[in-house]
Amino acid sequence: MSRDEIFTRLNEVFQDVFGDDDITVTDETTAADVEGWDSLRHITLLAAVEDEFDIEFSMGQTVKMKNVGEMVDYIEEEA
Amino acid sequence: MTITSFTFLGFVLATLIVYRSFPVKKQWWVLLAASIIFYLSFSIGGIFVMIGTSLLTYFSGIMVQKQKDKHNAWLKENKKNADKETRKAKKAFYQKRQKLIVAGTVAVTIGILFICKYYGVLATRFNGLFNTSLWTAENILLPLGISYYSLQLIGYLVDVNRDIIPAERNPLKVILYGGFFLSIMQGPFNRYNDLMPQICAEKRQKLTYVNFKFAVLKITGGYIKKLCIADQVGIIANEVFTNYNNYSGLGILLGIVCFAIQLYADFSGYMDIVIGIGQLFGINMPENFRQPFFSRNMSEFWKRWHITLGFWLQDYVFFPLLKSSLFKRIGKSITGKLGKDAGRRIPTYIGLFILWTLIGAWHGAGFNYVFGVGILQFLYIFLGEICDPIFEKMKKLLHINDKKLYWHIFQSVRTTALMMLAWVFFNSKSFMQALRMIRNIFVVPRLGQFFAPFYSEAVNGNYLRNTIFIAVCIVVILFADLLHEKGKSLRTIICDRPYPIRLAFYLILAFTLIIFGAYGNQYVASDFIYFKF
Amino acid sequence: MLKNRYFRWSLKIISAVLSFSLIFLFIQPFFVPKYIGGSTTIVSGYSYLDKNSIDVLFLGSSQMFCTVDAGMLTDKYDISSYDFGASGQNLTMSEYYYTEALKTQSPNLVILEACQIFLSNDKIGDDALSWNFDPMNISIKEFTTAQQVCNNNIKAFNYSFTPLFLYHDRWNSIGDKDSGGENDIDYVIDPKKYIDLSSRGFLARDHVEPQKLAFYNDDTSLKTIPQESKTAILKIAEDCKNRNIKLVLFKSPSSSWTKGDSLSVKHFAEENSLEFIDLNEKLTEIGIDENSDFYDGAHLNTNGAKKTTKYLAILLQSYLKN
Repeated sequence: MSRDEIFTRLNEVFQDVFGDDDITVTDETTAADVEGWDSLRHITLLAAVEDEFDIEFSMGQTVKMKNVGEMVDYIEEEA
Repeated sequence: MTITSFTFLGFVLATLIVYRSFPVKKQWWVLLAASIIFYLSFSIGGIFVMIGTSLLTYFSGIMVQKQKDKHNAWLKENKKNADKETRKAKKAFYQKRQKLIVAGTVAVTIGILFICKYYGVLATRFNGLFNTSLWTAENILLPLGISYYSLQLIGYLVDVNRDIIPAERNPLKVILYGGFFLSIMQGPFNRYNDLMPQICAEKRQKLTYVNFKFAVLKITGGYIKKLCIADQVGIIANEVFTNYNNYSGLGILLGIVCFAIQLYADFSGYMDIVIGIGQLFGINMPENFRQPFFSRNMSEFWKRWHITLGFWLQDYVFFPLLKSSLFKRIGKSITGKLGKDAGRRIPTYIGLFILWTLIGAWHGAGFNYVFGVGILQFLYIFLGEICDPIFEKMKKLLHINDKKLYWHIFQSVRTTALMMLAWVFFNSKSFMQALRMIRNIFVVPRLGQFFAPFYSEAVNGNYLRNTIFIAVCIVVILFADLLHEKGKSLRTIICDRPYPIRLAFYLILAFTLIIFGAYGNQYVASDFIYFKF
Repeated sequence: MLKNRYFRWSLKIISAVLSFSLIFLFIQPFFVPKYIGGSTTIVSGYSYLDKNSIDVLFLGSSQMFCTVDAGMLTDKYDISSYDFGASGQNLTMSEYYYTEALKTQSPNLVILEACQIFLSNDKIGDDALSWNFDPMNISIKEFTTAQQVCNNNIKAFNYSFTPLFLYHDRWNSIGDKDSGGENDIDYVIDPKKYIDLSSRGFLARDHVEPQKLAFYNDDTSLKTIPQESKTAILKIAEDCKNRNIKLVLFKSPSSSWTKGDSLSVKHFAEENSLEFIDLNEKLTEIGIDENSDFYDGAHLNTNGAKKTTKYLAILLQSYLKN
């Protein structure tokens, strides 16, 4: 799967989880850039991403992940 | 050795001199020795429990690391020939072992915490209710800072398990992490990978004149918050919360406001003192407060208040809970019945409820804690989430521009008022007392009495004087916080000025402490509020 | 360059220390309580006396300055005198007051009130410390006395040199009365405007409270005089001897004083060849009336004081002639 492809699918997940069709994420996007991405939604988001790509984030990744770029790196590696 | 005593200041100064005269690589020995001396000055028995827990955590960390190393060694050897299934099975095998070690250690640590802090209260209440004669752990030791070091050590072990840090090879460093004298009493909760690399660093920032000035000003500010604000308005708060039956209406309200000021000044003052002292040692500890009274809503408030506890609970309780297979199953089944949105939201709310109940219980075994800083907080956040669409509609209907200042002020006042209500429970002896106090706000025997709050001897009898003092405290706190909110601080502003202006500022600080500090005959030296948690 | 840096640093430190001390010393007097009509005015009034202008010095606690009307003695009987004391003063503190008094005056006769003779230093409360040390000028003797009386170096230091640390919180009691509710506590530095210099330390109070005098009972049980009281009296006696001053131990009429108390002091006086006058033995001669002459259990009122002073005047005149 190419990085672009991952981003396209990831955007859909984000739009679905945060209920906002205008969201587009990039490598540098962090929680602060997306309205509603707080600790309450964090796990929901990760669960949705896990379902979409059929992968599993470890707890270490859950708390360490700093931006969307790191998330994509991991998806690229696993999927 | 209380932190407001000259003994403590002397102790810090002596430690600092010895510390700075040691070679950098060995400076942590000085901190370890200082931490042990500091601990012993409070409780001699408790140190065995603290060191015991630290050593247990240390060995568990090593064991977890061993499992990881074995797993990695196997991976290195068999990566090419093993298929995905085998790899998964091996991973699960080692992870199960790691989990067992972590779970066992956490259970023991929490068990000790429970027996030392909660069991006695619960058993006494149980005996009273059911006329039993359970052991009530009357003379049991309460090791200093047990609720702080226990959680920190658990955090360390879980981080090792999560591959965030490698296990520490030196047991003394884990003991130092657990018993670090600046955070043992009431936080902040340090992360192992934030704190220890600084303590054990190869190089350290030299103590320059500028750094020194900054640190000393931060410490002085902390003492002013504690001695001139918290302890002074605390006299009124204590009076109202103790003899709440003598007050009604405005008297109760002022008492509640005073407690809010006291709690904030007390707790954040303590943080300023220890963080400032940390800076003298070249160690940066995380801030625990970020102008909480400017929060727009409850979720934001808890990201600005007792920050390090919130992050700890998020990373080690809330996230693991929501990621657990149980919660995933609950989510799936709700999605099936009520749709995707509910399937996502409801597990989060259940998680939140558990999280907040735990926060409440962490403060103490009374229902007033569990309710006030637990369930009630959950209700605030939960109702805020549920009602959000309604609020949005109302705002549109009323043409409210939520970017405007007045709306921010309204939101902050509302958030603060809701927190004050919660603190009534938090500071009451019991749940019922809190309810009676709240009732007393509204039930006023005579109409005139509503406005006649402080004529009692205990609060020095002068209503006007007290009101002015409270008002001044509020203005000072808001002014300082407003500067911080704008990214400035009095410290940075003053430190750039020529010496005479700086000197005038220092003199004002010194005489504020001398004149308005709560020390001497009229005052009973008081502990920091969070010391007991 | 280096020299310049040291110079600038020392300038900074000196200016910091100096400005701190100056502000400290300037604001400190405002915070120290002034008991208007109490010991503050009695002590301050003493400093307004002309040098070496008095013949008789009365020393001791409130029983002294409520009993002897030194103003009347001076005006009517031409016995120039002063009541120099403070409430709750025990003999260790009286010895200190004696030393201070002798710095500006050279009396021929010193009368020392003995009512606190049984009160040891460890029984002195914070109120008495405040009354006795607040109005006095700074001196080393003040510090050493405070040390003996409160047995706590930091406290003694604060009472004698840095009372600001004790009274810093008086911003919180502007306009209040003192703990007894009698005296205004004022922020004025100079209490001169409150002092009736002609009363010469005497405190006139008209209130009447009828008493039953313990001295009429036959309670002759002896009491022990604490060592510190003995030491203080003997120190004063020694100094008086050197200066050729006559010292008289004195007990004013009071309702709680017993025959046993009197005997205890008498024994001590005889052992050390001191003179002791107990006016409780002369109540009929003086004409003290239980029902009209007392302010409370310990103190005479204006009536009682007038009678006693009149009686005492003759006695003093005979002493002064010798």
